[in-house]
Amino acid sequence: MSFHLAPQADLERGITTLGGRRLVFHCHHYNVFLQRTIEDALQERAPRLLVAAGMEASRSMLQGREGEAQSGSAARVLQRAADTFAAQGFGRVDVRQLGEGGGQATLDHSHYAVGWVSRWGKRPAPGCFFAAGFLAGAVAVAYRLAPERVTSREVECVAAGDERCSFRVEVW
Amino acid sequence: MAIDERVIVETVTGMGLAGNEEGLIPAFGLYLTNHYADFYNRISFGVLGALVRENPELTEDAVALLTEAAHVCAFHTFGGIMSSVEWDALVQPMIESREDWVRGMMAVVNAFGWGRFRVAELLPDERLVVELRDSYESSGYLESYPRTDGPRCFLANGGMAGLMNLVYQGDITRRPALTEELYREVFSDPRSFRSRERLCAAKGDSHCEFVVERMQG
Ligand SMILES: [Zn+2]
Ligand SMILES: [Zn+2]
Repeated sequence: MSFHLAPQADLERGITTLGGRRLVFHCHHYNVFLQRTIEDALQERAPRLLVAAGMEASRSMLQGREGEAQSGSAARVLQRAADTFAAQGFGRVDVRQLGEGGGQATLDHSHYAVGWVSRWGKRPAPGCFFAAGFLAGAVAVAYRLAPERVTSREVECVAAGDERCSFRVEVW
Repeated sequence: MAIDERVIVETVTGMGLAGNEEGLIPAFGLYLTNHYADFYNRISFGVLGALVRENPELTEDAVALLTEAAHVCAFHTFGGIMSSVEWDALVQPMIESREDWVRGMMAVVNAFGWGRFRVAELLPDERLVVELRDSYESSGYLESYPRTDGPRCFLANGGMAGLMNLVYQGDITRRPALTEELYREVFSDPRSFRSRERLCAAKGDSHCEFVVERMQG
């Protein structure tokens, strides 16, 4: 990993950061249980919160990091985001079909899908909200777009019985 | 040999926990993520705010939901770690007493980015007091929301109760299977441990502090 991909750890304070934002280790049990708690509590409003929070988190980190890294092309920024996503344990996402107009991304071994299925089996609708938000944030940062212009939705999900997880990112 | 926190923190950090070729981090019998504090804070404080605005009487229930998620987290994460080959290799050789299971686990957590935990008091089978500095929940809270009059470190708070329940209620030292049945048995026992966040940086204290005791002595 090159320097700007590697999280910085302050062992004395128990703080790890990437792009100036804090990272914390958590396991799939907590991740999917917390998501389910929020879905149960907020019902149809839950996806908006979960996706928006994923977008905000990835955008803050990527903006901080790309500021340090002096970026390069938008495609490279997107690929670095995908590499970071994999290094953080969320799965392998293919971002090569994403561009400044949005597009499709596919995700193999999605942490949230794997975690959900291992705990509860299949769910009726896609469940990788964090990943959807992450991709929207990555597109916004890579193409320097106002975040309000970017939306992202998971259209197929392993946790919902599909063969893979895939996402539709739209730029308005 | 007593628990050497420095060695544990440096070794766990040095494991370089990062995604494999599948982009997953299987470790301690779990799938880990090196996730965004911003994400957890927004969804946790977001759902709490929404529920409380709609019905202020639901505050306690909303906090209970987040606390339950923290109990689940502790049961599986701490339980998984304390049952793992990594624990056997690194921490087990330093353990001299049951209390060292608590101290050893605190040391491992100090490598997770949650802030720095310190055991201030540990009465075997009875009481745990833990101080936490730089908690990601309180610092994230203060970045986005006005100072509160109640504590906000729901994950850390429930986590501390979970740790005591694993060590003194579920007897993790015997390596039980971490099933849903065991979870319910341990946490629904009227004598099981609960934690209270007595000090919290989110309400203006210099650090956070948790007091863990049995519901019924
Ligand atoms: Zn999915
Ligand atoms: Zn606190």
